[in-house]
Amino acid sequence: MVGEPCSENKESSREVTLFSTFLQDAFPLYLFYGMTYEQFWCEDCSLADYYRKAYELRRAEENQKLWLQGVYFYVALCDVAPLYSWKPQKPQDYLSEPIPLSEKEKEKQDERKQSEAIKEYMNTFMVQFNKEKEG
Amino acid sequence: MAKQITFKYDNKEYILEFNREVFKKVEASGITMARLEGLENNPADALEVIPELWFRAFQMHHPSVTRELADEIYHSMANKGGNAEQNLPDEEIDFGLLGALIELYQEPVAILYTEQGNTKWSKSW
Repeated sequence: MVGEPCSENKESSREVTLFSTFLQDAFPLYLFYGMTYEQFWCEDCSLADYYRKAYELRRAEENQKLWLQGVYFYVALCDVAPLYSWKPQKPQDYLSEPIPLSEKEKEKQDERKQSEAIKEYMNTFMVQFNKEKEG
Repeated sequence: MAKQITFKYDNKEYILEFNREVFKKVEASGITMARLEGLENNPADALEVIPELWFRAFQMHHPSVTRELADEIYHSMANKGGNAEQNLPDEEIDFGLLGALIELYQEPVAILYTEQGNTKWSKSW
């Protein structure tokens, strides 16, 4: 009650905390994290910590995916934006391949683009060369 | 990996561990965290609490162990009380088998409290 010292409150209203109730209340949350009944109640109790951490990793990954989806939407809207300008123009082409998500993917993409550029140059050169040879 | 107490008795390996189901049974039998915390001020209570806790610790991995065998094993164990009465620095205190048993019992609940917050804190001692 207001005005009474904290220690008197503790002495008069002490209750035994039953952690079994806490476990019962926590159980649905760990089912949500993906644990089974057996895992939560009967198996290694440290599994709960790993399941919680795995859930947090999944949530971070989901967030990353949604953010990336937003990037693709943004790119698509920017590509078609010229259609809706004051003087409508041809929209830009959408991305020809996915946005690289790591340095390794970026390097592979750059190599692929470089080798395609070289191939195109060689084809153009050969066509030109053959034309000159015939003519 | 959850906390376990392991030992060999009569040429057999034993693993003591609590899961949440056994924790519930122990609490239902009247051994609550509050009662364990009160053992220091009420040592006579230990005569009832410790044997029950010790017996239940076998149930997860050795459900066929009887109370008689559990008592027999308990009496053969070394370092039951540790050196907590010797006024040593915190890092040198060893609460022995009984301290380990209580920590083992608390593990199924304590592990659910391991979620870390962001609030920084400091202590004055």
